[in-house]
Amino acid sequence: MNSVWLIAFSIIIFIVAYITYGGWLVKKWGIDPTRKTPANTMSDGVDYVPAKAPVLLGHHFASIAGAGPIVGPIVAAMFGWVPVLLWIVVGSVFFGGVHDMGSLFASVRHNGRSIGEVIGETMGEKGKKLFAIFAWLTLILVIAAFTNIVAAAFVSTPEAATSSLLFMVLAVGFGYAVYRRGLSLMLGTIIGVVGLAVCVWIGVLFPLNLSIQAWMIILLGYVFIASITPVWILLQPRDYLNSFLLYAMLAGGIVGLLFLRPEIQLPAFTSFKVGTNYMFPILFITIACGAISGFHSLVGSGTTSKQLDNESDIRLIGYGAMLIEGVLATLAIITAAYLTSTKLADLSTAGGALNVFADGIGTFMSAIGIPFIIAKNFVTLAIAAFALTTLDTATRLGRFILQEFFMVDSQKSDTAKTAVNIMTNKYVSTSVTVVLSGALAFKGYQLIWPIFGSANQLLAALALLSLAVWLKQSGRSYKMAIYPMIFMFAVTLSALVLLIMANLANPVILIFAVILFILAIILIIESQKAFKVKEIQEDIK
Amino acid sequence: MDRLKQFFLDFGLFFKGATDYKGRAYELLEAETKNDMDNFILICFSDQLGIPLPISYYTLELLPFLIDEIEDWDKRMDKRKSVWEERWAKYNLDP
Amino acid sequence: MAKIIFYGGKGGVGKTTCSTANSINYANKGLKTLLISTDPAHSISDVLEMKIGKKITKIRENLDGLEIDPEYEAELYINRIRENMRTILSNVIVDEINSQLDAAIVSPGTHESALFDKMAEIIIEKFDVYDIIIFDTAPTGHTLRMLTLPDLLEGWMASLIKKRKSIVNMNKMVKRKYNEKDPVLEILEKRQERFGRIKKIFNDGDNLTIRFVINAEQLPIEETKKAVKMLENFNIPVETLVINRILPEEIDKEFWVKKKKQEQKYMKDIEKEFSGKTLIKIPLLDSDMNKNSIDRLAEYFII
Repeated sequence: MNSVWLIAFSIIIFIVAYITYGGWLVKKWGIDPTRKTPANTMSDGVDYVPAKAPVLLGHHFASIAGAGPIVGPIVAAMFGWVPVLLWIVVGSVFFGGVHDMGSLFASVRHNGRSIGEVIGETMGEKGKKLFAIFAWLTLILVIAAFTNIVAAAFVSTPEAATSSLLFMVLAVGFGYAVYRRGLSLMLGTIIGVVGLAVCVWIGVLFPLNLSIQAWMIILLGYVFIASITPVWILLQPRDYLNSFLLYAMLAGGIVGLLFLRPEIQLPAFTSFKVGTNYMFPILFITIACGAISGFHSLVGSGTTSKQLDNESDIRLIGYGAMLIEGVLATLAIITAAYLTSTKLADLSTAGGALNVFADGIGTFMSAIGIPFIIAKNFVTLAIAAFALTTLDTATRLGRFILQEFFMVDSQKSDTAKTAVNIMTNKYVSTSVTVVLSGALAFKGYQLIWPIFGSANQLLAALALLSLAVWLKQSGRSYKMAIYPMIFMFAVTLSALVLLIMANLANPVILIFAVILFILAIILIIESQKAFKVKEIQEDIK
Repeated sequence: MDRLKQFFLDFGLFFKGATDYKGRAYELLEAETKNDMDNFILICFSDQLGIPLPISYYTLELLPFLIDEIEDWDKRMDKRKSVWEERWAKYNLDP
Repeated sequence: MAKIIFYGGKGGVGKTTCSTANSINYANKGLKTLLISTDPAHSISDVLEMKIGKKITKIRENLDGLEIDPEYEAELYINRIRENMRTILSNVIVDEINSQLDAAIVSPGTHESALFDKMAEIIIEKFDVYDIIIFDTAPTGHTLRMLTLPDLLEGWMASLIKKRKSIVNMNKMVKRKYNEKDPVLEILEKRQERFGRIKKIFNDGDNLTIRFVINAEQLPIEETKKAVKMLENFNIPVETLVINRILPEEIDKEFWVKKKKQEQKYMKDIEKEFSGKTLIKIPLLDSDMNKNSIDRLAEYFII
């Protein structure tokens, strides 16, 4: 079977689903194009600014696109490519799409307030706190997982290590020249993009070989320093230049794929149990962001809902963006599926999921004339750059969450107050985050990823729950949110039980799994309570 | 035919939104600056929110020069109890 | 270089009289003296039986006087801001903010701040004009706050300036305007400079003296003790105390008869001025008030 069919399959199913299921959701939820959105009623020229639908879609998609949908499917390929593709498609259509579109809709109807506030209103303070805890835990897991993923990729592709380090220098230079000194953005961008090409080229000439442990320590050090420096020096330039890398890579990859049209070699289906991993639930929590991701609700309700010009855009942006991400996930599974099992295992061992992806896209791009080693280096650099920026941002956000969480309880004794002051100090909280994630990172991302997936799915379950409660309270049909939520709970709980049993010898991972398990139980109990609340027939919010 | 044209235009707009190079280049910087500005105004005019500070008398004379920044400030100050989610969205965090 | 003298003391001990007398003494010696009242009661005008206003008034040779009216100063300040706004902004916006500005005039800290501001202004302006500047301050609490304010404000202003500088830098990067001056920062730095100058003047031991007026009675002594201690904590030494209303060495009947006659005249004034109101007459007791004697006094409150 040719891999192009997989992409075609995803795209066609997504288009059909968009029109049918998406249209059905619009009807059932009463999405109203005549109703004014917060961007128009609460316009403030800063956050609440209406944006044209396609532009907003582009922005929203750029925000939710990440390395998650790439790593997940490749790791899950152990079950064969068919289960992975099926879950990507079914998950995006019935789970992720509903989650994204629903949380966007709920946020719009709550005056553009963030999902946490919606949760607070539908489920009370406890729900809100749970959300914050899940978010923080997921951040730690993301930092741990990505540190390890990038370090592994640097081992298999030492050219990318050099390029990444050079990229950091380039970013600082860009930041200084454009922001501090006022170099024109156009000129800076041109120099930046050319500089990126130079980074790639020099990387190929001078690969940097270090052990994976060494890389992890270097990366953790980078995370610490980067997250406490002012944004204009490193984070903003990186974030900006990253987008060029990413889109060039995507464009090159897709065009290359269409040129090369490789045949699928990986088995369509291996077994319901691979090693200690049962397909249910491990397939689902491994693919995680590729099908449904709790983070999307934060991004959607954080900025997108405040910029929505008309409710009729909700389907396009909420549902549509998730489907596009599904296409990205499909591209990822293809980079694993066109390999033989042996080759896949080799590449994974050599450098993890990122190595598989980079090798694949690199191969596709070589079909359109770009030398393989340069293409592979370029792809690794692109994903690593994205991951490193995520590390920086995640550490900063971890601090904010800690601060708000601890501030609330600081009315206690003086010792408590001092403890709070120490915990929320910039250097301490950053160190806590880095040390904690570091301890996890050394366990290897294969062990961390399922935990991260579970946490992410729980975050999504919480958002779905809140959505369901709100739909019910406002007299709307809510089954389309409840069933996915129940499935998420089933998947995560069973996954956590399995993970706890499998990691009894790994205290750090064990603690996370246990904590998540307990929190999941608490969440389920809260959901029972939330549903007992009578329907509120007042203004349908 | 018109619909097709519109579709291609929108397709282009999609990429514009996705790359949005002028916006993306300053996104994070702007978010931080606006945050800091809001905090600065908070200190200067906290007595508007009922929290008098020793320097409130002296920050009054800054009022004419901060008028632009104050616009909608009090609306923004309304929902400030928990901001980590907004920051999350501003920083575009999605792994 | 003027010598600045603050007169402090519990209410009613005779601050106004003493500070006025002291200033006359300096004037007679040929030193150019400025007597300033910061006490809302403004009794200096009463003592000298002349109208001393919000502008510096000549009292006699070498002696000028000034009564600071905080409310007037606050209004002046706010109106200046209003005028400033009209040159920068549309009248419509100014009107919308008017109520906020009006509210600011009656806000709690405003009087104290306006008072301090005028005081600082006078000191800086007239430092090289007069030889002596005497402040008749309000009863004790106020004095302390007034003297420790420069430090506090300087600290606040410093952190505000730091924040503003950081914002200005970031804004420059965002707006890509690298050469713009920031009026806010300029205003803040000017204020800071003023606070700094006052702080310097206050901290220089040679420039600044505090004199406390006390009576030979328990409560004024207690209060002054506390005040002196507090000032010493702030490194402001109190070198001189004025003990007012000491009874003559030889107490004879004539002294008390004269005093009683005067009192009776004033009693008649009171009864005439406040006729129709209930008057409770409480005698001067021969010992201090304490927890035992207060009961004796309680008996007089028959209503």
